[in-house]
Amino acid sequence: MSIIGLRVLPVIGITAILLTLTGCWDNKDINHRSLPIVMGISKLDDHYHIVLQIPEPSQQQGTEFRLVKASGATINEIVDRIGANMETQMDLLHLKVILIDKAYAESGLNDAISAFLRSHDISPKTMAVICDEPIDQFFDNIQQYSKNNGTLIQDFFRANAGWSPQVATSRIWELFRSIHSYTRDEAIPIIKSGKGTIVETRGSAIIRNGKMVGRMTPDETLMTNIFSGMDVKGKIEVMNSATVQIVNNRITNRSSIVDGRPLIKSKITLSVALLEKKGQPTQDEIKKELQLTLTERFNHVLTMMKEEEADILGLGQLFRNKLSRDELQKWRTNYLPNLKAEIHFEVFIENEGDLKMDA
Amino acid sequence: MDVVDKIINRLGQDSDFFRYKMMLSNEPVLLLGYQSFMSVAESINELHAQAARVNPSEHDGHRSRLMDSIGQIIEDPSEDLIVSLLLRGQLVIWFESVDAFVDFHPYSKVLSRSIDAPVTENVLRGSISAFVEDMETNIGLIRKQAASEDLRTQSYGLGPDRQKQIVLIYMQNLVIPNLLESIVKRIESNIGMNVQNLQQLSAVLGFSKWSTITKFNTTELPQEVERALQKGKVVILLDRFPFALIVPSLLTDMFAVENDRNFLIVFTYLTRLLRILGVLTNIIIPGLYVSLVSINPDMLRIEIALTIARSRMDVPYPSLVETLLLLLILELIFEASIRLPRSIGPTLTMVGGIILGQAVVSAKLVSNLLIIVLAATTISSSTVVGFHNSLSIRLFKYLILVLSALFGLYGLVAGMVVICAYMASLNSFGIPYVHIMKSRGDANG
Amino acid sequence: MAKTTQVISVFLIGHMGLIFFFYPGQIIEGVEISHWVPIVTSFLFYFVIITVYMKGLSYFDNLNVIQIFQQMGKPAAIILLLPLAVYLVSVSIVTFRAYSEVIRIIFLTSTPIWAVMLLLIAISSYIAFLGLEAIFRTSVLLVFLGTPIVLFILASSFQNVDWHYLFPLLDKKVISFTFLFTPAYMNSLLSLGGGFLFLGFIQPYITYKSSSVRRAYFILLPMLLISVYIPILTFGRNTAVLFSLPFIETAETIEINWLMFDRISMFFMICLISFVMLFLALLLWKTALIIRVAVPVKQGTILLPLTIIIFTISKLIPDWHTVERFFLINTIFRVYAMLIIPALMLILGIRHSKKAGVKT
Repeated sequence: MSIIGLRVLPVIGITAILLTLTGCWDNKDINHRSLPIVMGISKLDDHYHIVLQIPEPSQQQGTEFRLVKASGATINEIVDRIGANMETQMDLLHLKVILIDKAYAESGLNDAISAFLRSHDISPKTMAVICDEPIDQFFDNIQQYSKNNGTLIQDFFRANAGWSPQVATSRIWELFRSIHSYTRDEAIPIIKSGKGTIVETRGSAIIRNGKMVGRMTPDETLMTNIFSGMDVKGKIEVMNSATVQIVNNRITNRSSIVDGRPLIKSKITLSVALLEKKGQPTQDEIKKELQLTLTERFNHVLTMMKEEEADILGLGQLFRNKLSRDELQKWRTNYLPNLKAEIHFEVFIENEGDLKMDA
Repeated sequence: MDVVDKIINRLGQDSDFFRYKMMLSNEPVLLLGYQSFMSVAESINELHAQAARVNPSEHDGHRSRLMDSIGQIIEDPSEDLIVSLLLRGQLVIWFESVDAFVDFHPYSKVLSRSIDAPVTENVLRGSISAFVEDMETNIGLIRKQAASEDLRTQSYGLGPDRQKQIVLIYMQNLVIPNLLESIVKRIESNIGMNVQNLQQLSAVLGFSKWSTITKFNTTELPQEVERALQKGKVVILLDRFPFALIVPSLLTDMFAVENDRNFLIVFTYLTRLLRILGVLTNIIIPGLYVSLVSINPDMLRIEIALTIARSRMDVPYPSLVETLLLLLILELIFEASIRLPRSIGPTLTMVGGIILGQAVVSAKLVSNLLIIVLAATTISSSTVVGFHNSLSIRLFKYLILVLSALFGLYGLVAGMVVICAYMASLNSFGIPYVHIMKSRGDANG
Repeated sequence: MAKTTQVISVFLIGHMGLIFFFYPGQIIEGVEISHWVPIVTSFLFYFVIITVYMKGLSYFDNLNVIQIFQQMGKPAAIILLLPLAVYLVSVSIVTFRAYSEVIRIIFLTSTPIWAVMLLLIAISSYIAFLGLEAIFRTSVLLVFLGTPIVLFILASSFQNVDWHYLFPLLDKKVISFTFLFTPAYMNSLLSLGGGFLFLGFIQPYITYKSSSVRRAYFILLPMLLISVYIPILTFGRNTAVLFSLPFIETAETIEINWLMFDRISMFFMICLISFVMLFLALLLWKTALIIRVAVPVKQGTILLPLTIIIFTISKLIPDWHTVERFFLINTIFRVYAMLIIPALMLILGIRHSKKAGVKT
């Protein structure tokens, strides 16, 4: 046999050996796996209660849901048990939303979050959401409305689907980061089942070191989203005199330490389009009013942050080059409460819609 | 027994062998030949016409001048030599009085197609004449195309009786010396081997039997041959084989044909990129489907995952079996449509493609998505240049498929690495398969 | 015929496979802030070593390390090459084991580890069996296939970056260079080192221009920086230090809406895994070459028992901690291969050139 023949034979040999190995370990086809999309977690006296929402593909009409509930000592154990009882294999890799009971969030999420990140089974991109009503009730309610949409709750938070700028977004990796960070906390959305619309947004929760310590209204959430530089196009802002739509937003920050107190100077530039007005306000009046409303809201958020010592805007990040690492460690307790912020909103009315200003 | 009787003894049973006695300028002669090779009446007319030109008045030397004028006198006639001439289609004239043989070039029948458009390679913009079975015509086509005084042809008779002719063609000034030398050496040392097909030819050239990638690039187009010659490759023509065989065949030959250069340069490169994508699609997609469905479903977006799960709802076997099953059917359709007469082909395509596909899905034997995947595979397997290359690609796909079924994406990549390594390990006459050959001939490359 | 492109692509591929998995974790663990200082330090360190190594080799015309040692007589060659052989075998074992573990964690949670290892080792030894030229040509094909994917993922890994984590840029603690002596940093330095040794082994078979290789080395600097800084900029050091494979964890956070795939990080990793396969093949080939000094048989004949031994030992390693212990025991051989061999090359080279100078 020639040398080149020797090169092919191993390939054939390897293939043949491997072929006989097929089925030696259980790789289940996708239709034999359950792919839960939403996981609800609540905790009662050291016992976790878990609800999994599993889409059940059926050939006749779209996707239907199945709700599976179980309780136990650890999350993984419960999931395991559910998997054992199901006719299919449980596969959490497609989990998109983790719905956390409010009471549980208030008692601290650290263990659960690190468990999620430790096991490779759950994607770090999974969204964390707090539920403003008992988990079971929430699922029962949405079950009635959402017959044929398997990815409903996920779509609610997806930037290219149903997300709107008043809703905070927080992945579990971001939560995990906030738990271990000196200078950053997270805001995570709060929802509840609605009437008419399936999900109703209830603002967002302030999570400090893995614990829910306060909450913000949707409008305040919008503020934080603007501040973190997110593109919040399309948001309609209601005021006494008019309604505008933010077309473009930009933020520049300047940080400094003055007399041991952190000082932050921010300029937020907003381009808005006029949608609706009440009476006959002038452009300047609208601008002024908008500035005033926004500044008030921002200050409220800031006050809350100082009270709770929770830096959901990540302001501490701006001081990383001003403070040493040891000082940063005390950011939340020593610096944040003393923070002085000068926020300036600059508003441009980019257009007045299809009508003239006076019309 | 003299030579004539021996020949007649040997070939006399053939029904198309003829012996014809006649007088040629008062000389008794015997004509021997195969009437299937020539038109006998016209050849005899021609013979008479040539003989008449010789002045019969001078007696001495008349015969020898006659023999000279009508053809070549065979010195030292042996039985074998004459038989081989006869088998090549020559008319042999025996001058009875002097027992001498003359080799006469008869009025031969046309046993080849006329030059036609290529059958296996479509040309959209470029020279359309393709090679035919007749070797002389093919050499002529190449000479005409290459139009160079450096073009050399070298002919060898192979086989136990040295009857099968092959011709090496190369550019004297451009050919890679080592390549030519080793090919010539191989041919000369294996000159007794038979070459009725390419497997035998590749044995003559000492290529491995078990290679899964062809060592000859075949083409029907003189244009491609010219390009290959420019690059310093050697072209082999086989008698009665309407393709030119280019040695060595390289990876780039899968993606590039010379005819691409008849389009704007942007499209040349885009087309080639498309072919590369086609090959990659063909190799990867079935394996990717299997690995995504059975081992790494977490790769997919949830919507697609659910769609696939839905379409696989009642499919009774694992995705590997499902894919293999349908691939087998596709291979059968491929093979069947080559076998079938052209008029029935479309029927088969319809039955195979539409009816079978639809039925198989509605019977829930395979998933919808798989049909799409396999359609993409089949289409892309044909974007590669040359049918011989598409066969290799079709085979590689199975390696990846099996590995993917075992190891998911990891297996898929492992398969790709193995294929890459395999291709990288090949070389013919010291030229690696993955080598990119620059044109050595033209200045604007 | 010089094959500089092929050599460079093997060089880059080998390092890419090494860099993106364990290196960031070790650096992030070893240093608290200003990670660019240790990265640049180790980069320059290796630049010097590679320069010394290639300078030493350049005194000998197209000879490889083994042949140079053999000029000093067989016993000397065996004594000098033995630690190198031990180093190569142990590196092969650790690498096989470690990457099989990584593959299993990332792709195949339900597949037994021996199957993963079997495929990895089978493919690497198959490539090694095909010969050095095949290894080098394969590397070019893999670069061609893998680069678009790798670049795409590297570009999109900046998605969740918060540049503020870059600060503080310089810290007193780092300037004092105490990090040099932390075990984590030592490990990172050594794990990076395996990628250049092959330059001294391939010479008579494949030649290259050493200046181009040195220039290509600078492509690694951005790679090193990216591999460490992407996790830090995304997670912050405090969080990044908690991950065993920080870059991969970061790649998992990339979200691209318009692709039909959810975890595009997987594509990045499979590209890297294919690079690793090639790197391992080269490792096996080198080992076989050294063993042939003592046992003169054909290259192919040695590979099979070698493969079986490596596979068996890798399979006997029960857990990750044993791998790490292995790593530590190995340190002395690593230092030998990484520092002594290049230095030795330079010394031998200078001596050789002096001798030659005397003769002429």
